[in-house]
Amino acid sequence: MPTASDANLLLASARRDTAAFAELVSRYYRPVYRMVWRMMNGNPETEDVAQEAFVKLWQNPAQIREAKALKGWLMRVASNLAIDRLRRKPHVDIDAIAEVADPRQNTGAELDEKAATGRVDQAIARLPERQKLALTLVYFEGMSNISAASVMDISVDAIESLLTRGRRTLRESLAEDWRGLLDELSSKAG
Amino acid sequence: MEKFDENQMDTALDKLLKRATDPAVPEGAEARLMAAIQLAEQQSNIVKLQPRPRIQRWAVGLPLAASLALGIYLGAKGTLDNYMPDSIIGETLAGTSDSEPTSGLDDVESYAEGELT
Repeated sequence: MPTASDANLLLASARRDTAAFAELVSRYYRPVYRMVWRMMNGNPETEDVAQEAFVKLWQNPAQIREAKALKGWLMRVASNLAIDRLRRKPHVDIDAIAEVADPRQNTGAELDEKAATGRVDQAIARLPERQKLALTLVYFEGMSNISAASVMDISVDAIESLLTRGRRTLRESLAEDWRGLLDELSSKAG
Repeated sequence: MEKFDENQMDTALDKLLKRATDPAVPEGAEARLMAAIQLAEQQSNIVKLQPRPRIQRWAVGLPLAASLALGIYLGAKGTLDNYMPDSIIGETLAGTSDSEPTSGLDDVESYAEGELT
């Protein structure tokens, strides 16, 4: 069913067509999983939470009035579930994120790169949850400010404010990495 | 850091953010999700017994308490005595019944006096 629209797939899913639902899963599972992973700081329960969001969709696909809102709906439900789960089990080992996070095997000369990746992941993990969600939706999932605001049920001004504060926090916590990059950029410009 | 302008700082931060992990979806995750969906579908075919809606405690408690209070009040006042059977209102003990059994003590006393004289 590669050419079916989301609207048709939702209708078919409402008629309990699992093949149609599987197509929706193949379209949206990855962005939902990535967002939940980011919100849960690489917690191993990420898959459970992403799965729960899709099960909620399966239980009542008709609640999506407009098919174009599907991705936003999934993101909203999944982010709420992730935040709830984290609040119930807040003790996440942020320092272990790099270990859990990156499935790629880095060795030798890539160690510095891996360490930098770990520091960036940890800095993002330490952001307040709303700043982290705004940053995840806009920077990592490429959503527009308007779409991200809709997911978070806030105004566009509010999401811009969250992004600005999130970037400022990241600048502070990544000062060392950042200064090196700035020097590098500066020398290239010179 | 004043030697760098905002654009440079934004560019540097964007480059740093690109270094963040791009998490890979675990192998078989979508298949596991579809299995969970199938399971949810099977469970939804089972007709569940719906529990009766809970009535608020006060909705039951208030009339019961009022009824109890009214009963105590009317009972103490004796208003309802005419409507009650004798065995409940204690007519026998009040000595108003003709069928009251005699204790027999008076007879015994008079018998004893007769014996002495």
